[in-house]
Amino acid sequence: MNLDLWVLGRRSEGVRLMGSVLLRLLSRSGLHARAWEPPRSGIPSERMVLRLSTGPERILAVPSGCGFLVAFDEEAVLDKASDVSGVILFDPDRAKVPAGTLRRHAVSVGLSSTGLRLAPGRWNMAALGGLARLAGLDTGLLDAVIREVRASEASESVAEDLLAAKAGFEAAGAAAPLAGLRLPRSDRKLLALSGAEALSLGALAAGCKFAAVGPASADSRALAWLEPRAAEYGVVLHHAPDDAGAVGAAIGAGHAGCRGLAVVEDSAGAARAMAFAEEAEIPVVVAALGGSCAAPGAAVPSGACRAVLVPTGPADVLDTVVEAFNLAERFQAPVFIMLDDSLTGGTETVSRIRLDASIDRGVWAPAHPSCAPGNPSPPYDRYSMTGNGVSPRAVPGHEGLCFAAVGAALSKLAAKRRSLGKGIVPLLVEGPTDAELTLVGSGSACSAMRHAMRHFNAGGQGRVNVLALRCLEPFQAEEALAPLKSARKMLLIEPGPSDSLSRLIRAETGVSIERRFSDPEGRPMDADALIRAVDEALHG
Amino acid sequence: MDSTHLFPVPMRRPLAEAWDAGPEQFARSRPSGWCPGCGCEGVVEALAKAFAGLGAANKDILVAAGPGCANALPDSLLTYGVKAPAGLALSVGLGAKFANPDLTVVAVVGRSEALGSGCVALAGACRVNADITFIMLDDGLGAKPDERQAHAGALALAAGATFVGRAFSGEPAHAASMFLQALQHRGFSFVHLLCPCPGKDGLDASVRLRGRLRMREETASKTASSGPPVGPAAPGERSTASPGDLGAVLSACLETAPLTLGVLHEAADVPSWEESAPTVRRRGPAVRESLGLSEKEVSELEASLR
Repeated sequence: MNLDLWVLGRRSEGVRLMGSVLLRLLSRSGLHARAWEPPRSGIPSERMVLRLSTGPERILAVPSGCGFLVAFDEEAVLDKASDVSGVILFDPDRAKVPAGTLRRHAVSVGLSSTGLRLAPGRWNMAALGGLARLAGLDTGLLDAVIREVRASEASESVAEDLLAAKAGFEAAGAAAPLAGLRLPRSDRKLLALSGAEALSLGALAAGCKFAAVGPASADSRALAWLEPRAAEYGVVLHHAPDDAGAVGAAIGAGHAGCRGLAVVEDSAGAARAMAFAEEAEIPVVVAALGGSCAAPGAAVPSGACRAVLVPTGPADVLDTVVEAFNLAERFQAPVFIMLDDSLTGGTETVSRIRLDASIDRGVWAPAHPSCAPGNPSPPYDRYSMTGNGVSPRAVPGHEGLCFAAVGAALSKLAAKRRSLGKGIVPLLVEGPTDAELTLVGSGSACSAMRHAMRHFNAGGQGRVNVLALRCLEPFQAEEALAPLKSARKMLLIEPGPSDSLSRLIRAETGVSIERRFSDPEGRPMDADALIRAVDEALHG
Repeated sequence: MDSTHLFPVPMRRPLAEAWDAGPEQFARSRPSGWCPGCGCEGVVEALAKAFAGLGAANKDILVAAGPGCANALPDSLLTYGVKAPAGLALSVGLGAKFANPDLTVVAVVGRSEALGSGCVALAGACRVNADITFIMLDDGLGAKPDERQAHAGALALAAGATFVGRAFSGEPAHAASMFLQALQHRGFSFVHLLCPCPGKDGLDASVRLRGRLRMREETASKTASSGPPVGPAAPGERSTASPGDLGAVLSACLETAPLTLGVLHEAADVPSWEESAPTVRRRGPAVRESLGLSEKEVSELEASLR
């Protein structure tokens, strides 16, 4: 049995904190979970929604249904109460549930701030306690998680949190039998990982020692996990005045021999800097955030020699970041990582992550033997032509190898582009090869595609398989053609309305996929709507 | 083989061990492609002298140049260089400095870039006070007909630059002295280099400009002129601003007749980025860090997520 939860309130009311505690509580209880919150502006009074689904099996998509609602105020009740199939947790001091609003079998549980004598701003903790009681979760574990998550706060503040959670837990006791929900706990060791955390962790695992973020709040949030830990791990963090400046600084760090990351929202604004890195053969990794950037067609112009990688989920973000740094240094080229909103705003439980990554720094020029202070100009050609287009690299500080980063010949970049393409796994095919329907997509859509595949292949049926494109540049048309041509029917899943992935596939392979499913707002794929779309495609 | 420690960036050669290098060790003798009479030749000469005076090794210097005439500078210097596209020279230089604070980093761009596409980066660099020398080549005192005269020094000052100076390419000895002071300044240094363009303004552009220049007293006394004399410092005729008096410095930056050459502002007591950045203070240059995570760090990180 799964719990599908919506939390509606204002950012300043601690909605996000509630989500952090809840995800950790669920993963510690051995339950799988997936949560999503839309991009935020950072304004404290901003309304926000947290959607979370949890259960004993891996959650691959967040359903649109609302089993439980935590409503911080009247507006939240009016917005969502009529959709709730299970329980509404609300504060009777701030909201009323109008008569006739509730669906049949749904119940409302009031946790009054004044009745429970909560300290100001602690209703979120009371709601957590109430939720834990209704879902049959361990109150001792809840206390431990609150202590950990709030470790940086004053002890008096944490004590108030614990009291509020306990009050909520006890107050919800009477309603527990009505809720009819008891999540099965297990001893599985899971951990909760968001796309943004994975970006930071991947950077640490890859040995990134310089990170620049653009001015947009989304850019900063993406490295929010890393920021307080940067000095501890030897990472220089730079807040650039604009996205081009962030990429420029990361290029400078790369030119100096440091693994540099730029996190930007406006990938188009950073395109010129990326083109320079490409021509001057400077390794750099750029994480492009936002929107439904499933394909680079709209936001990122293709170049002579760059890689564009699209991870499919938080754990894959971590691995992709490590891969991106290795590719960047091995091929001395810029690497884009496209992260759509569902990835950066999403969290899921995973069984393990890999932080002990192997690091490949590529080929470097040896210090010149004849180099001496009086002979600073030995014959070193930074852009010498080689078979694979990759020439030995030097960085400022290396004796006797001074050069000006100018730009390689196009023929050299073309040779390198071919080598780069061979160094990347371009796509993943999952499921039976002779399926009736092939779901084609990239980025966060892949998780929803796997959800649909699991649904339709249940009971041993092999009706659906998945083709996940993970490298969009250089596009490996030959590798993609085989599964595309052998597919009996295809359904293209795109997170947004741009149609860019469809156009890219058509341009690169000549294969046109007529059936499409997308969310025009770029939100996470609605699992129920996707199931309907797949069902229609199977029967159409 | 563990590649983590391969190819470490060597330590900077300490300035105390300055090698006996002359300017010729920093400048190439090959043709540059600049127009005859171009002030950029003087920039190369002045920079080479300044590098020699600094005692830095070629390998420890990075010159990031913007587009236009400045773009040929890295080809003329025997240092590491970057020929960056519009708006990126300073950002690239900053990133290199952040990664390896041991480097001596100079960014050279034209006026259009400094006040246009690179203006945001300039303001940002002034704010963080990274130890970089930024040279703006001002090829025309005459702004374009549809432009107002911009006061770049005032802009840098307002943005928080801790060193603002002005020099003239026709006075390479003075310019070299100015560059050297800027390089030795701990923090962001902005040098407004008047560098007339003979291609646009005629071969006599430098001569015409000379008549509008006045040297600050203290720098005038240190440098020797290499052409028709720049007007001497005269009380009442030039700025009397002293470093630290920001209002007077601003007035000096805004003056157009005469144009004061010399150090207009220097705040030596402001910590540079290198002196205040937590990561650098705690761990040293990022470029010398071992890559990857230790077993202990991996365990700690995994535990923190559970």
